[in-house]
Amino acid sequence: MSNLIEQDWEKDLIHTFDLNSDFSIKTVTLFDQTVKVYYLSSLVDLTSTLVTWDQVISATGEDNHSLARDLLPLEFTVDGSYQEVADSLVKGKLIAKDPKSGKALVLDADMWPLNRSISASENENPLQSSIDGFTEKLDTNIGLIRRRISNKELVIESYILGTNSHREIALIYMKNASNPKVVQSVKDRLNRNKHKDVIHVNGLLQVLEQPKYSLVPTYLTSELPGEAVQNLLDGKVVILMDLFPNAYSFPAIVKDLWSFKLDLNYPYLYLLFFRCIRIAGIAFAIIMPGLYVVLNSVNPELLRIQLAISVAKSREGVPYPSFVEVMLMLLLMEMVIEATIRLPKNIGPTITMVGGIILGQAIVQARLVSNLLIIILAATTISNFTMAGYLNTIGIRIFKYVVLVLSSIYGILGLQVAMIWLFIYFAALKTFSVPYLSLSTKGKSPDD
Amino acid sequence: MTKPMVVMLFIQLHLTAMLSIFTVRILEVTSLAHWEAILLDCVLEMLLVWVYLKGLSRFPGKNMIEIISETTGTWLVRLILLPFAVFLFFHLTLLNRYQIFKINVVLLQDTPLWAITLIYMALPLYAACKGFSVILRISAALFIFYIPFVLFSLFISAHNFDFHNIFPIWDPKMTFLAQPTYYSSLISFSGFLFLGMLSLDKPFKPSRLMLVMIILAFFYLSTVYVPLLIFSEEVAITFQYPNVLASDTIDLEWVVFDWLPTFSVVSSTGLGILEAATTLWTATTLIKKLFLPINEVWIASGLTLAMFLLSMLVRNSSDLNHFLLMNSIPGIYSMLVLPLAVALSGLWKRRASA
Repeated sequence: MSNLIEQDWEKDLIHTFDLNSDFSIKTVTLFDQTVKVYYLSSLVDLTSTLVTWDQVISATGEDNHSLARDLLPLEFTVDGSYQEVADSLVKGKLIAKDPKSGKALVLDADMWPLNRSISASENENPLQSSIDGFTEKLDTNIGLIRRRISNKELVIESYILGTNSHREIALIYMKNASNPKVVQSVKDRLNRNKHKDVIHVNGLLQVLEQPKYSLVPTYLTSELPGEAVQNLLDGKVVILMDLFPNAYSFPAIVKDLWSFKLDLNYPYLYLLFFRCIRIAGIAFAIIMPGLYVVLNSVNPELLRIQLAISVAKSREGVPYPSFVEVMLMLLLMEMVIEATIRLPKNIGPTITMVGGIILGQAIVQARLVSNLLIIILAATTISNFTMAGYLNTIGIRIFKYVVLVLSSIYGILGLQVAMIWLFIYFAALKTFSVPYLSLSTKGKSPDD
Repeated sequence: MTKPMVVMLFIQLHLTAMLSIFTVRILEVTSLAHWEAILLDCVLEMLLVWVYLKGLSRFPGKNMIEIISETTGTWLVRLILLPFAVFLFFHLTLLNRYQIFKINVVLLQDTPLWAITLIYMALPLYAACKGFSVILRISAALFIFYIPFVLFSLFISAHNFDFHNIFPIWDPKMTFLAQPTYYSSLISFSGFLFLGMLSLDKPFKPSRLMLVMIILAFFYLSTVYVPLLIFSEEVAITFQYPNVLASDTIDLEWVVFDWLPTFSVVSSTGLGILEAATTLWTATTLIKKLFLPINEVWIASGLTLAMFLLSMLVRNSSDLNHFLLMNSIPGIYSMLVLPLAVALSGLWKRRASA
């Protein structure tokens, strides 16, 4: 009987997975037949699976059982190809050996609940809107979007990327709102780079052929379905990746630096107010440190005399040039941000307190930096975080050093040159043929 | 590439030109009725733009080089456009030098000129290498940021106007026409020449641009009359940067900055970078299409390097004025010949097809 003879695929399977403690081989009785099954016990709940199958089979109510036929809705037969069997196994399928033919049957099995249920988003605080966030399960995430857009124009396409490890992603767009050129070029790139393994977001960006070094992100991330939905309606293309509780919206444009999509849940005047505050925040975050150096050491004559004197007085006794002073404090501030961001919630306050004491009080009293700089530093940091989207804040955080260096060399001209450089950089930046300096991603872009 | 963006660039190129040498030139050529000289320039430009656009509108999707070479052949078009290339090259060098002198005098007295030149030329090179649509987008962004500054620094001193200085208002003889310097003021109106390089599918209607130019004429008048009304003609003529000084005559309590000319210099040099980028792009495209078909980045880098070295040779502002005067010859040639050549090509095409 073929049941007793070990097939080639079985030998290969055992050989490959022998070292894994969760690789299980069991013999179970299904419909009076003894069947050998292979599965990963860390993923598959065998008991529950067998119960489910029993229910399915008894529902059909036939006497003349054939395993392959009875389980037809659940399985597909693999003819000898070992690679497919192994791939299915690691994805959490159950491999049964057909007692008659000896072929491998790949069966859907009940998996251990390895997913978190839908809960409030962890890293974004939505005000005045629904609070549920994406989870790690792709289907749940798609469902969250589908429920919010009951529109037949919504298209959801599925892709499986990678050769060694497979990663399922979903490409979502609105047929009537998105720019067809963008959708086509996203699809082209996904198809062209299908073979690349995608483990993290960087892998996805490589598949989509995004620039490796870019000051501002070419995409938006959000944990909130509401945000992703609004991006879809604005004509962006959203990519969901299995096991990532984020929606990635392409392409990002300059407007996304200050517009948080959930602002739309507010009256229009308030929305305008918020956005103006954020634009001012961006300007402050970029200019302030540079302007401090300009007014302190390169072009002090620009200030009114009273102000110039009080600025100079506050720096009395500080032993190094203002550029070094600013650089020192900015670096310290970056370290505080970096240190607090991932610390457990019960250690975080310690850093905040120590940082607060050092940055706020001690360093001024020791005459290592000026009073005014502390104010500038606080203003810069606070204004930096007024921007929409955490990723966006990082680019601006980096760019302020460019402004700082140019300002300390060329004074007010350097400040202006740095700003124009930023404009040129933005003007030259294009994501999927959409210029970064456009104000809408809807439909066809008027450019080029 | 949208038309409002092109118009924004058009406006900004003219603003740059009028905020640089224009005021001094006009004040030099006549001591009375300056408006006659300014408006004559404006009308002349309107005429040329009209001819230019009419000519271009017969060739949708083509740029000026292709249009002229279609009728004349490759060698003749090279000959016709050679002075234009020369003009662009020196125009760029000299205007950059002008801006750098201004920055040196007003903002950065201690910084060596070569260092300022280096940073001031790096940006136009970067922008020009990225192509014209990028320059257009920058111009749209800068338009929003700089126009308030320009208006602020231009009209801030309105408080100090003495309207008696406007007289004498009439000069029946138009004596300025006899001065060669007057013709060099025409160079400040050369900002329309880039329109021929755009290869627009739907050409501009001249009438729309005329409206823009009427507004610009008002600005041309203001750049001359603001210092004139404040200082009077006898004093204003002695200044090297009358507009900068005009904004220094006022003290505003509510502005934290004491030195208001900073706004004037910062805004005019910022626009200068945009003009330099456009001119460099035009020169690069011209050279690539006519003389040296290699990668634009190489041409633009080569031009920038040459300009950097050449501008080091211009040591002071009297040298600069001398060279500017010399460069106005190819400048006026380009302003007259380009529109005419394009228009004549249009006529020739119509006759040939008829």
